[in-house]
Amino acid sequence: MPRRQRDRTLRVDPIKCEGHALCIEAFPEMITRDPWNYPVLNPLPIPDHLLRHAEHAVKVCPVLALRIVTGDRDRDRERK
Amino acid sequence: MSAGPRLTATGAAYADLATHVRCHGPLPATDAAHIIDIVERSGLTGRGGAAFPTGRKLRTVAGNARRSGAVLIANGCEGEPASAKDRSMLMKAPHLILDGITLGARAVGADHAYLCVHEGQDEVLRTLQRAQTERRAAGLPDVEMTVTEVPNRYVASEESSLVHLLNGGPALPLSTPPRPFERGVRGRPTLVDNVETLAQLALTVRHGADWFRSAGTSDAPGTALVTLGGAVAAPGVYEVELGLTGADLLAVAGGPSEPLQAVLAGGYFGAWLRADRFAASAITPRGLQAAGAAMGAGIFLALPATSCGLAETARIAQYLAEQSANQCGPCLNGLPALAEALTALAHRGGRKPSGTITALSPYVTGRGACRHPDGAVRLINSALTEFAADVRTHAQRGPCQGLRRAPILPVPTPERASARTGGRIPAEV
Repeated sequence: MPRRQRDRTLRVDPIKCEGHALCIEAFPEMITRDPWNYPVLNPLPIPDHLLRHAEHAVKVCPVLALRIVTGDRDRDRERK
Repeated sequence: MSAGPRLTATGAAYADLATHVRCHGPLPATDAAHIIDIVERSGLTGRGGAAFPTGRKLRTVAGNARRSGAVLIANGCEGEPASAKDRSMLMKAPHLILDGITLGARAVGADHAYLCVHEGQDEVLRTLQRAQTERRAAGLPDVEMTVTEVPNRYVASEESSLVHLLNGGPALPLSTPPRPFERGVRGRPTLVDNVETLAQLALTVRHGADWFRSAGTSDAPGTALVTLGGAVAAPGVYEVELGLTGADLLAVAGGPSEPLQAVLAGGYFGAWLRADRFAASAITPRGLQAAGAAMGAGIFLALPATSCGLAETARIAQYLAEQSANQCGPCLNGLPALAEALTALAHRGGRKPSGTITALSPYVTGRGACRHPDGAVRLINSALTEFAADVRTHAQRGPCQGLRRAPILPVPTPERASARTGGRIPAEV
């Protein structure tokens, strides 16, 4: 039985990301460009109708730096 | 200080084991549950900069480690260039730190501990060796411990960098999660605590939570070590009761040595406060946060009225940019750009640089794997706010008289050599 999905958000590993910017081309609705060509992610949940775009953006990243994370467990970067 | 010194109570340049035990009493034979309970009730928070509740961290790591066992890292690296308190504790009261390591390890179920110090501190290594020899001779039930030297680099002592290093990698921050308290050294839950925190823990387990709370305030109990520098009569490391005012804090170091314009509170990870605002601020993590600064690792640097706060900050900004691990795009690109703009404002003036800083800052904060870029941005922006009048003067009339003065804030010469090479690990002592 399909469970109701919790919120899905984009997440980039800032160490892996090399600023290839392909994700920005693939998913401009939620990924914009910073002054150095690195992606700035919209932190809001990905709307269902844009999920396929998000998945495409994840696929085109040549260094596998972009992910879609589910729920808030992964999202919280409690940095002390 | 009404409660009297605690960490520094022996007054000795080196408290040997006999002096240490005479002053503080023997190492308590307490069990894990009791240690965690006392530390939680004491309200002790981390003294390395983040001020996270130590008891909660102990309980979390202990809970995560139930099956796998844990690892303890005592962080004595003192990455902040202007700080001297950790070295001071390691030299004067190593037994208090070693007691804290053993008790902390017991609390979280760690069978091995690492004491991390920056490389090239031969005196500290010798002192630790001497203390460990004394403890072995006395047959103390210490946890097995390795002293590890860490490269002299700002981000090398960040907690995920230490875990990375101890796992055989370079001392550079890791993408998180997992955080060390979840999975750290050899995949085990890892407690990373500053050496002063562990020394505070060692005393608190001995004397109890109420004793700990008998100094300081209800929201910031206890004492803390502070490094007071810049234009004060007697710069140095002092133990103070938390909750005193900024004015009283400066008085501890003999007061200002000349009229001040501002104080850098929290070190290079903190922020500037105008002298009058600093004087009225409560020296607690919360009080300084409310004022827009931070307690950080207890570093306070007083800036004379005749210095140029923008030029001073520009030097630190350049240093922090050089200290980037160069792992994350926004940090490796953003910090040099910000430092360049601030340097231009300080030394050449003009209207453009402050606009550049305001425009770029949001693209840097929160976008690194570690908090290095966040700290640098906070410091730079606090300079624009607190020295707003200077920003206007520089914009309209160019550089100020303050540039003629020699710099006040210490900035180490960059050691690029250790940038990506990692450290020697682990150096057995």
